[in-house]
Amino acid sequence: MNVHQILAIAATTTLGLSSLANAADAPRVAALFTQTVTQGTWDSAGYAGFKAMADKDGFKPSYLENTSYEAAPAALRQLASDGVKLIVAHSSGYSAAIKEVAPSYPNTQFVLYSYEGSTANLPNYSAWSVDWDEYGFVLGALAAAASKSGHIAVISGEPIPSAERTIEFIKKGAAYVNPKVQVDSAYVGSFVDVARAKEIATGLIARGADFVIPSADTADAGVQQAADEEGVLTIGSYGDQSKAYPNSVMTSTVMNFRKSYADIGEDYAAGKLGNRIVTENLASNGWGLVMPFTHVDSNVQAKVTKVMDDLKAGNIKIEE
Amino acid sequence: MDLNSVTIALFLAAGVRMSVPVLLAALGELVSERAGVFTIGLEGLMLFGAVASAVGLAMTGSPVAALAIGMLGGTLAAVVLALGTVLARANQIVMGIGFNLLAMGVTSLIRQLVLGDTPPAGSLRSVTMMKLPWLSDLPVVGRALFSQSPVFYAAVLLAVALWLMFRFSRLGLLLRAAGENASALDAAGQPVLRLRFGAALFTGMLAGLGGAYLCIIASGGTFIDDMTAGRGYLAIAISIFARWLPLRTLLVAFALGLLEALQFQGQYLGIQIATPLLMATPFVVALVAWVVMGRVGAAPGDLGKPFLRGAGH
Repeated sequence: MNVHQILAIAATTTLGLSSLANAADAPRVAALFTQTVTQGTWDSAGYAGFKAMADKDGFKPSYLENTSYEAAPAALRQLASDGVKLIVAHSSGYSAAIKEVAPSYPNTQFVLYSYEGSTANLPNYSAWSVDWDEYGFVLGALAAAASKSGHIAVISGEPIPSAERTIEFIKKGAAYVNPKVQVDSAYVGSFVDVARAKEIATGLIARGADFVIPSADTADAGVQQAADEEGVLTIGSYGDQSKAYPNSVMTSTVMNFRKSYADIGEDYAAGKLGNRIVTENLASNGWGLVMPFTHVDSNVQAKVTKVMDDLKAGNIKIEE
Repeated sequence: MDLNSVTIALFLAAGVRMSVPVLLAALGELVSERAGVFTIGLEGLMLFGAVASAVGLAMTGSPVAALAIGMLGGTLAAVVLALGTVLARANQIVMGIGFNLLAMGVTSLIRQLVLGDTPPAGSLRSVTMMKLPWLSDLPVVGRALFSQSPVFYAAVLLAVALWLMFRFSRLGLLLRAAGENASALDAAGQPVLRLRFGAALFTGMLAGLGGAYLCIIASGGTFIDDMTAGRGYLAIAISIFARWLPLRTLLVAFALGLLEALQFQGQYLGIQIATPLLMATPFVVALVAWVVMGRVGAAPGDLGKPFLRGAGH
């Protein structure tokens, strides 16, 4: 447990003590984040969705930043013991912690946002599971469609199963558009080391990649900087980043956190949470791309839009 | 594996770039350790330098000014650390660890209060690249060694200057004496505390520059919480592994930079070593350095011992 987590838990505990007198007020909700909500795009945009949900539904929100997966069980217990009724964990890595803690706190609903395969039949565990296979497929397709050299690269954070799976589907998507495309991949070894990510991306660009795909959370900034400096294309992650890297961002993926979190709040209020997995994909409007594309011909956008429409309609079976 | 001249040049260039922040911090560390001050807080000093440079870039828009402000930030942070370890004679290990934890929190707070989510626009070219005439056109080494940031050239010159200082100058002799036998130096009428305090500030200045390099040059002006990611500890290991010799520190830092570069260059060079193992290599080497140096016992005699007049050592 690092200093951020200690301070955050202390703050949350203080909040809890101060709110004892108002126990009969609106339900308390909390969120867990692996990094900070004031930097990067995944956690900051997720927090905005969480905050909007709390404001709209009249919940009393609190949150923990920089909560590692190892520290998550203690943090979840602390929050649930403190009377928090709805806890949203904003990363797939919290799955094991929720499955460990949830059975001991039946009066608290636990929700995971990102990816989940099974809620283990727990009546107080639900997941909003993004179809990352589809996400990766579209990234690969758009990079291959935009690449003039037929050589693209993906830079991931750490070699964990979800990252490896994303790379696999990026390759599938790229090959769908251009069967001869070359897809290089490398790991930063960290989700926050911008310097190393930049160094890796610079090396891959020097080897001929003219489109680099960042897939390393906060370290994505290094990949995008390298693309911006070296004059190749890249993509913004989870929110519009075209203003930060105007020379290189062709488009950005945009997670529809507000819609997902609004659904979580509504389902909680309606008593519909528990033992269910909600899939977020293109068809559910769970995510999308910023339009129009920049730095490329219109036929690239048309090609990618066609792929996305076919995915929505079920005309492309990406598992095959 | 495709090993051509371009690949080798890219690998060497990446190794140099990865080595610069730790080289600067390690050179600073060896000066304070030579003077008897074990600066465990090096990681925190780098963080302060990094955040100060990011603030400097946001305020001035000048990358050169940002680097200077990073050095200043590291120096000011070192004042706080040295007040505890040198003047108040606190335990240097405990104080250093506490300082690193404090630095993580304080620099994060500064970022949230002062910095925006995106780095300021504007070219950083004046500090990221300086091609040396003629030398930069040499095959392989031209790209690797002579097309680098001016900060790298400054770090190399600094290593040479420190070697000369410790070997030939009176100041170097006094600093070494402060680390080898502070009581004897004090008995000779020399200001031990002033020497150690100055050495600690110098360490802060170089660690601050290392952090500023990481933030401004290596990360495009973006400050990320805890962005040093253990590089301060690695720099301490480098100074020990190099046995407190500046030129050897230069070589060890470069070797570790190459190992760090191998982590990712190896991935797309097709070197069939498990990625997690490649990623762990610099830290394994650092661990070996600590173990080996523990056995050699070549450390300055009074390293880590607070100086107290009359206490003897």
